[in-house]
Amino acid sequence: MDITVKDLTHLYNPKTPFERIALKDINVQIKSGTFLSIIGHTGSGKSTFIQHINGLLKPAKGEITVGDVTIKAGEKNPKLTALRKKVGLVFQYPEHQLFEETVEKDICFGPMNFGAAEEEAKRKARDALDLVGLPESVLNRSPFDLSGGQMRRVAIAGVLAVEPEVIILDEPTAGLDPVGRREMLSLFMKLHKQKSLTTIMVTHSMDDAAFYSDEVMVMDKGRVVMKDKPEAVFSHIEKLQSLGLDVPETIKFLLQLDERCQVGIGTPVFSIPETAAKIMEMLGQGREKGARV
Amino acid sequence: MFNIIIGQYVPGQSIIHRLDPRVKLISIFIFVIIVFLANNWITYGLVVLFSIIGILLSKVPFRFIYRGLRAIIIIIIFTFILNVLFTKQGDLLISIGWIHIYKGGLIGGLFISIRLLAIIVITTLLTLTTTPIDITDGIEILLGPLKKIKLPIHEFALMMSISLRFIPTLLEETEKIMKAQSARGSDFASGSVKQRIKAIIPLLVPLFVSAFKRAEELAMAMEARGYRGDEGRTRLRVLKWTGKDTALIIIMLMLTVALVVLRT
Ligand SMILES: Nc1ncnc2c1ncn2[C@@H]1O[C@H](COP(=O)(O)OP(=O)(O)O)[C@@H](O)[C@H]1O
Ligand SMILES: [Mg+2]
Repeated sequence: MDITVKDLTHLYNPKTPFERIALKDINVQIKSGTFLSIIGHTGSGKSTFIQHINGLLKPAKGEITVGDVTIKAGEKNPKLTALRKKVGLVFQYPEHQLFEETVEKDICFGPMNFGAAEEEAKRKARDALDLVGLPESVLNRSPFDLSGGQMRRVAIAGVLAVEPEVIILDEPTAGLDPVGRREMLSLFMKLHKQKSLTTIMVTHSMDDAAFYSDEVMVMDKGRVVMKDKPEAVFSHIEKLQSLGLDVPETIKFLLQLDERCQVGIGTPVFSIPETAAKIMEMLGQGREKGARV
Repeated sequence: MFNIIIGQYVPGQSIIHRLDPRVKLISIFIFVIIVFLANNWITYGLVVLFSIIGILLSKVPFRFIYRGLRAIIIIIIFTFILNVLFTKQGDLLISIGWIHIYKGGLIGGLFISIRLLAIIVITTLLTLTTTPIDITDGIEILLGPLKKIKLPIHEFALMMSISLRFIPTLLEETEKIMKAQSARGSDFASGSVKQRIKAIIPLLVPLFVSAFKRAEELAMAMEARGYRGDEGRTRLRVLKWTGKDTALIIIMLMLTVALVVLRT
């Protein structure tokens, strides 16, 4: 499903002394099937932006079109149920939203809200649990007895069970250990490919943004500063640093290497094998130029 | 969604802001009592003058004071109308059908409205110019002597300041969980009463879970930092009584004397 955002502006606490512009004139196109990462300093408006995509927040100005639903400032909202069914939103620390006695009931909550019959919901719950890599044996346990990582998987299963076409993740790996993080991310990558989803991920990790995405969007003070392929975005190293953002580790490494080789790093690369190849290439060029490497 | 302003403190550096919270509390206590001494134009005039000077000195924009009054204004108008309609004193001014308005009723209604308004303006001024923590501190010290008869004043004050601290956090959390459940198709805004009550459960359970977790963490953090209750505990922010505080007390006494002398 294509997502089109036009002139989107959002105000918190409008018409009070606490009024605050959280988003300013945002224009973005997200093509169906894209894996988009959003990066930006804390408070740059990432969470505010993604909540507009399934109608949780209403724009003060502008409009958002998701598939065939349009939300427009100043107009009454269309029926949001259809939109929310198609756009799954996984909040930061999604395990905080668990409330049912059993894992099964909690995962069924979404599908049943969107009109699935009990049997159908249970089937979807089983499928979703399988997708997030948990055994069926947890279905009858209380979600509050599980470990933190398992709770998060259950919460994510609760969103997947609705079978959305767009999935939005707000810092999905916050608070996980390194292994948990990697598993979580490969899970989203797998889902993205298997189900041909459109995935939007807010992240603080430049490595993840660079490695997993088709496109990276950079936000600063409620505005979109860049939106492009990761190679293009992470070429603007000084720009990113001026926004208080980092660059991926692979780039940092290559920059250090280049201080000795003086050949330039060319197109940025983000995976380990590509980086190894790039190192060999740079070393070769460096020797030809007579650098002592 | 939650545009409620808790504690509604308006930061500032005015002389009213800088007064000792104890003095402010005592003065309001005195004011609320002596307002009832007023019974003629001069004494009510003094009360109004005092309130207006208070507002001006605090430098709080008038709209904040108005916001505090909005909810109460209906009650004031209602009291006024009741008084006008049902007091039969002085000359008959207007008489339409069963409605008889007497001069005494009109003046009486006006006086009562002024009295209510003055009390509310002055107490609103306290919450607008004093942080909730300062108010709690002030109350704890003023009620301190009651500890002698084993009343848990310190615990009460601690409870109050912790609650004040966590109300915004709790509201934020409520909003977050409401959004998370809405994204999963919860509908908090429509449906029958029974459906709406059912829709609250997915909100309340996570809220309670997190509130208990927070309470436990807070207790642990306090213990880890050596909290043992009231005994032997010193204060980080020592309240200071200065010249302007003494001045306010003297002004309050003068106002009392003036009201006693000038009332009829
Ligand atoms: N519920 C809210 N009420 C008022 N202001 C908010 C609220 N949520 C966020 N903001 C403000 O909006 C701005 C953007 O916040 P947010 O979208 O959460 O940023 P990010 O997710 O990039 O950290 C911040 O300045 C934040 O303080
Ligand atoms: Mg955020």
